[in-house]
Amino acid sequence: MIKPSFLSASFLALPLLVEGQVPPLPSAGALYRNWPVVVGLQFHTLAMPFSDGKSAFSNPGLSVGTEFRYNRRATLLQGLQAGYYHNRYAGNGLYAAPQLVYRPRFGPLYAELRAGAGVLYAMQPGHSYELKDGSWQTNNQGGKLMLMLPVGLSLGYNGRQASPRISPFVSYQVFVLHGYNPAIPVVPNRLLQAGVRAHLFNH
Amino acid sequence: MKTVCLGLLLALGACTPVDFVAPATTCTAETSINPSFSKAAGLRQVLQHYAAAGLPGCVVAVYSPTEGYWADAAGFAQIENRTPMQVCHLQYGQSVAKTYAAAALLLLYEEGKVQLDAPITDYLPATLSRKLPDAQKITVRMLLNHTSGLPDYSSNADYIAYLLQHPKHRFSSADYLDFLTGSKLEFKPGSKFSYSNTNYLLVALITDAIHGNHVQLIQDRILAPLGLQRTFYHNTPNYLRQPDVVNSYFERYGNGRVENVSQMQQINVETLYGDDGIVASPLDYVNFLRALMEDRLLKPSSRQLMMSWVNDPKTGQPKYGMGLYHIEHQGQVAYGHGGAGLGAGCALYYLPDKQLYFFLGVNMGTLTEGKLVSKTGELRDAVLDELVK
Repeated sequence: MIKPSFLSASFLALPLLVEGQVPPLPSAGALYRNWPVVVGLQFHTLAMPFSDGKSAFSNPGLSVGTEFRYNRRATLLQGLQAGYYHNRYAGNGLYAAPQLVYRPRFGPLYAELRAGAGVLYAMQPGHSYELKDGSWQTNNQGGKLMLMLPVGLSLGYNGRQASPRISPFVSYQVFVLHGYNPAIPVVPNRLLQAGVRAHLFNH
Repeated sequence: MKTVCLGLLLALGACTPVDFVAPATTCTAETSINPSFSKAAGLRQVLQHYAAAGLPGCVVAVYSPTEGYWADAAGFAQIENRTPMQVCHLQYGQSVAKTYAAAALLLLYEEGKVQLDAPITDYLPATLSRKLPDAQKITVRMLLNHTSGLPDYSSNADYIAYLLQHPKHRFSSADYLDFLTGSKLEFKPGSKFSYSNTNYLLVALITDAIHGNHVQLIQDRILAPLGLQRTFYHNTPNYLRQPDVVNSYFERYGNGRVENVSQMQQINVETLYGDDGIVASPLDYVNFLRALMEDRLLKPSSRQLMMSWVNDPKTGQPKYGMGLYHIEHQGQVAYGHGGAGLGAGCALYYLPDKQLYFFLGVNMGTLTEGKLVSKTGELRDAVLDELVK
């Protein structure tokens, strides 16, 4: 017995699934061009994965990046992402992280699984003080460079154009910081991102 | 759209550092000290050395029956306006509060109102005990000597992350217990020692359940009779917001730089109950421990209970009683408690062989590690070295 709700969902999905009712898609590799500009709005939270949902959109920032493919089908890519977020209480962050990206396509949609390693400069949320030459010196938001290990999932839309110029996406990334404090080996963080991949150049 | 963009730019540009500085003033000491205390010069030198090495401020208070009281301080109660650290400033006791909580519950034990070997479910409201794993297997004694096996809520990764992201959030006691949701006991209750702040939060909640008000019990039966007028424990909602309380510093990244986290520390400590939550002058801490050890607070048998040690599972040596640690330094035994918090650290101990009581406080967090935090451990050892000479 097929439930009516499933039936209606199937009808909605039918145009996407049945070849012949829509123009045939060119192969992913044929569509892909290296070095797109990837820009996004992001929100940072110092939190364990899937917790502190109320803070999900609290600490805004921007990300930029680009990528190139490793295979003809463009399902395996090398991405490079850099970004900044403003986090009043946990400290602002500036990062750069190369990531290996696996990107299977599902019709006009694509998913991404990405993982990598990078560096993050974590700024102290408040004024910091350091004893130098016997007196306390103020340092306006000093910080520390740390190892950043991000993993993420994304969902994007390529559309059906043979040569999409703009692909919107949403992304959920978690990353751990190593080196926050010797007593805290890793600190969990979360980035929610929404952005576009814009193919500005013909490569 | 323009408004959204403008808002985003303003949000990104709002880079004013967060300001957690609290007011701090100089104060006046009301207890006379013995300026010719035999260990004064050595202890003063130790304090000045570590203040010069990068600890924001540090203070020591000592008492011996033959020489009376002595106290001194070095560094700053607040770096920003160069308020000197003084012996009259109120210091965070952090986990030293556990000694007070244990004593308060033992006062009820002396009145026959609590049985140490009864399950905690006999006393805790069901709304709280059902948040705990296997609560019916845990006794009051196991809470007092940290053998319950209950996980420490303060080690929970969700809690630490939430605290760092929301430093002004006020947790309730129930919130702290919620961090145990889905957890299991770490070992069979009563089988070994494992320090857990959860145990003493529950000691306070049990005292509340029996007496009605754990805070009032400590005020009426401990602080007032002992004349500890410079000790404050949840007596008013803003009891930590007085200018005599030292500012608190946090070496967040362990890199030799400290941030002023005074307001964060105040809010955090104000929400801690039983396992923390106390401030006092250094001499008040010393006087409390004196009263305990001189049997002016509890019956000798109850004090002996506090000193019935469970062993360290690693070394097999005596480790913890009920709200009291058993430590050794250069072959000398000491009884008391240490305290470590986000923005302060301390030690309150009695050296029976030397007949010496001491309190050591620093206004920098010792929960984490770092270039400066490591010096607080060195400072404690240096103070003990001087005392056992």
